[in-house]
Amino acid sequence: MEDVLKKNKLQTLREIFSPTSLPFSEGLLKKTRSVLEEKDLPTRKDENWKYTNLNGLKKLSFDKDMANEILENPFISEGSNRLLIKNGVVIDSTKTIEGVRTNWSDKTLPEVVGSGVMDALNVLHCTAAIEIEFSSGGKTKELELVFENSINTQSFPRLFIRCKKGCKGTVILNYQGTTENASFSNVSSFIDVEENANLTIHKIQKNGVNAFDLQREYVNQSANSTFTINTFCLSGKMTRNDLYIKVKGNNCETYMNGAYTLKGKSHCDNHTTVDHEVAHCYSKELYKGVVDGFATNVFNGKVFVRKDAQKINAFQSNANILLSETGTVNSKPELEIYADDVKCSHGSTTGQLDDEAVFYLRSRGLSEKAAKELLVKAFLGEVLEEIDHEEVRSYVEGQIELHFTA
Amino acid sequence: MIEIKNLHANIEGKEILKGLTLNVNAGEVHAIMGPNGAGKSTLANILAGREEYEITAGDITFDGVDLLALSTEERAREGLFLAFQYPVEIPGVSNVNFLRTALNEIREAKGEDPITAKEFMALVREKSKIVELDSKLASRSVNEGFSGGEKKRNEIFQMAMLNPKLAVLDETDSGLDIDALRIVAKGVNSLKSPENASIVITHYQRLLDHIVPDFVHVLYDGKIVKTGGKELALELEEKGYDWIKEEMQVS
Repeated sequence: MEDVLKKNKLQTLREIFSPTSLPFSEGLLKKTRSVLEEKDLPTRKDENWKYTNLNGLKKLSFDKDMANEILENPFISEGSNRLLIKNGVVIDSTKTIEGVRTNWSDKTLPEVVGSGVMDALNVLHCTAAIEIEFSSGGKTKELELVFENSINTQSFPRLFIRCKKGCKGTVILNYQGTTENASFSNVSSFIDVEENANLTIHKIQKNGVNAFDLQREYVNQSANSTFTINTFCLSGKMTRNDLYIKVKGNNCETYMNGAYTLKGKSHCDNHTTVDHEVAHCYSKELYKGVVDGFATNVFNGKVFVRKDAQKINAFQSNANILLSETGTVNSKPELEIYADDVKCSHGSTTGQLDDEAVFYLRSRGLSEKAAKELLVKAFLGEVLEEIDHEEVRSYVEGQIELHFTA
Repeated sequence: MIEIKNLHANIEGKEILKGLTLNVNAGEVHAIMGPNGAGKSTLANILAGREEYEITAGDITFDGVDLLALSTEERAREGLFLAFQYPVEIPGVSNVNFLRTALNEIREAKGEDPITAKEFMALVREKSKIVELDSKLASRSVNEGFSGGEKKRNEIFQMAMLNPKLAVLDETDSGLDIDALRIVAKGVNSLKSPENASIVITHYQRLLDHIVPDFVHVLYDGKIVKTGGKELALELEEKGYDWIKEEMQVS
C-alpha cells in the first residue's frame, strides 16, 4: 500500500511496459533511468502540455493474444521498398533493403537522444530501431514504413534517418491501426539532412479510435538543404507531434504541411518549432484541419530567428474549420525574432463553413453532406496541393471522403 | 407548373410577403417587377428554400408537389433553379467538379445512372457556348475572381447544364453591361421550351427587351397588385412605380 502511494503516475504507467531488448549502451540507459527517477508525466502546468492532458494513459491495458482483425493492405506506396513494423516489432528483420538497418545484433544503437519524459520512455521501452540512410550511389530513393497495430500494445519505435550530402530521399511513415485499436505508440525520430540534400517525409497517422500516438522528430538541416514534412492526422484518441527543426546552415528551405480531420472525442496536438540559427533561409508552414463532434485540435507553431540570422523568410499559417458547436481549437502561433532584417509572418484562423456557400451548392442539388464535404475538401485542398507524391495525396483524399461517410 | 397561393412570409418577425398569389404554366415566361423592398428577392429565396424565412400562411405547389415540404436540394432535384442575384465565390471548388456532383445527385434522385466523363465534357462544351463562357472559366473555382458579368453568365451556364423545369432569375440583369445582358438573355431564350418556364425578377425593363415575357406582374408591399402583358413593363419604365402606389392607396 505504501508503495502504491509513493509511486508517481509515470512509475505506475511503466509497469505495463516491457523493458527494451535492444542494445543501447549502458551509459545511455543509466542516464535515461536517472531522468525518469526525477520526473513524472507532464501535466497542464507545463506550458507545452497546457491543452493536452495525458491522464487518459492510465486507462491503457494491453493484449496478450494475437489479433483476429487484420488490416488488408496497409501500404500506401506501390514501391518495393516497404517495411512492416507490426504491433511495435519489425517483421522479418533479416530482409535487406539497401541503406536500411533493422537488425542490431552486431551494433549498439546511436547515442543521440531527445529531451523529456516521453523520449526517455522511448529509450527504456524501445520495441524497434530502424536506421535509414540515403547515400550517393544507393539504390533506395524511397521507403515506406508501415506501423500496424492490430492488438492493443506498446509500439515504441526509434528512427534514425540520414540523407547524405547531395542526396535525395523520400520516407513514408504510415501509422495504421485497426478500427477500435487502443495501443500506445511513442516514437522518437532523429533526422539529419546533410549539405545539398533533399529529404521529404510523409507521415500518416491513421490510428484506431482509442489509440495514443505521441511522436517527436528532431531534425538538423545543414547548408543548402531542403527538408519537407507532411503530417496527416486522420484518426486516433490522442495524437501529439513535436517537431523540432534546427536549421544550422545557410540557404536552406524548410516546408511543413499538415492536415487533420478530427471527430468524435479525438484530440490532436501539433507542436512545431523551426529554429533559424543562421542567415539566408526560407521556411513555410501550413497546417489546416476540420474539427467535428467533441474533438479538440491544438496547434502551437514556434519560429525562432536567432541573432545575426538575417534575410530569413519564415511564414506560418494555421487554419481551422469547426464543423460542430462542441469542437475546440487552441491555436498559438509564436515568433521570436532576434535579427533585424527578416521577413516573417504568422496567422491563425478558426471559423465555420460559409453558410452561403453551403446554400448555393444545395440549391444546385447537392445534399447538405455532399456540399460540406466538397467545401472541406476545397479547404484542405490547399495543403494537398503541396504534396507532390501522387499515392500519398490520393490516399489522404480518399481518407477525407471516408471521414465523412464513416 | 407552379402555383403560389396566398403566401405570407416573415423574416425576423417582419412580414414581407402579405398574400402573394401567382400561377405559372409550362412554356411561359413571367416577369416580376416592383420597387425596392417589395419582396421580390424574398420570393426568389423562399422558392429556393432559404431557411431564414418563416412561412406563416399559404402554399406552393410545384408540379403537383408541396414545394414548402422539400429541402433546398430536393427542390433542385425536382427541377427548380435559382439564378442568384449575388452568386457565391467558392475558392478551391472547381466549377466542373461541382456541376458534375450536382448533375449526378439530380440523376441519382431520378433513378438514373451517373453521367460518364465523356458525356459530361461534351455537355460542358455545348452549354458553355450558349453563354459564351470561356471553357477555362468552367474549370476554375466557382465564381472566384469572376467579373460581375462572368458570374451571371456562370449562373446561366449552370442553368443550362442542369436543365431545370422552372428557372427563377433573381435580378440577373443587375451589374451587367449591355453586351453581357445580351449574352445572358440569349442564353435564357435558347433554353426556353414548351416544357419549362421561367420567372424573371427585375428592377428594370431593359432585360425584358431581350427576354420577352408573356406576363408582367407588379409586386408591391408583399402582393401582386397588377398583372399585364409585356406593355406593362414599358409603362412602368416610363411612369415609375408611384402611380401604382397611388392606385393602391386609392383603392
